[in-house]
Amino acid sequence: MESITLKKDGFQFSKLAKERLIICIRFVCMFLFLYTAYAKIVDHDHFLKGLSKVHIISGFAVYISWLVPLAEIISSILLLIPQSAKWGLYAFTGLMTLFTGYILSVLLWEKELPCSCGGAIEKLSWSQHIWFNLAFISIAIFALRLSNSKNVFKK
Amino acid sequence: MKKMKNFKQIAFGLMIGAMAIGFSAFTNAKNNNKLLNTYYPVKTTGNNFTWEQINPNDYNCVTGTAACSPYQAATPPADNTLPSGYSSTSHVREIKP
Repeated sequence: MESITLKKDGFQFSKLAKERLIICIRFVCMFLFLYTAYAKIVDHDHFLKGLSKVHIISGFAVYISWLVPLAEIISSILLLIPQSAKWGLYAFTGLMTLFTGYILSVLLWEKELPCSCGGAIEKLSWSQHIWFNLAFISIAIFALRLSNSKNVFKK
Repeated sequence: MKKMKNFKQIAFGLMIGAMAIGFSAFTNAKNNNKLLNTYYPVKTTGNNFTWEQINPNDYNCVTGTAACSPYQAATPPADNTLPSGYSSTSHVREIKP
């Protein structure tokens, strides 16, 4: 079996297992971004309205309301193409970190907490939302570490 | 061989992308009911009232020509009229003094 081999110094993934794991993580991340980007574009008014309620960004709400789904779509495309997947994972991690920072800042400074995150994710509470983001950031970093440990993306 | 592998990966990724959009469209359609707003009949002058989005805690329920219960719709009903399915209980909302 070529999946996972246990060595004295801990778990060691075979190259094939690493590749498959990274592909799974890439596609899960891509699914999330396409899912939310589509919801933000289709229900753009609702997303814009939510952003406008946040004082720290209300001045740029219109630009942000288009930039966010656009950035998500670009990241998804990068994640889809094997040659650019590593950049996609970096973009995904960066954007998710930015979103988490935004949630934390809104939690700290805003009285009302509007969530216009797109789709079913809006149903999450704010603490669930942060944990959800952190979980995705962790798996993306894990995929990046796996790809760096042995250059999986190098073709 | 590697090109074939990449091609398969992209094809699989596109399938996942299509699934994501389809799933998003499905949940979005379900959430469209959320676009409904809640309106209350609020007393203006005499027996007149207007439909407004208010915080019911800030309003008393007084004698009038409508009701104190909320009505959900995308847009407010016309002033002084009761939409179908919303029956009068001879009450209306009035802002607390």
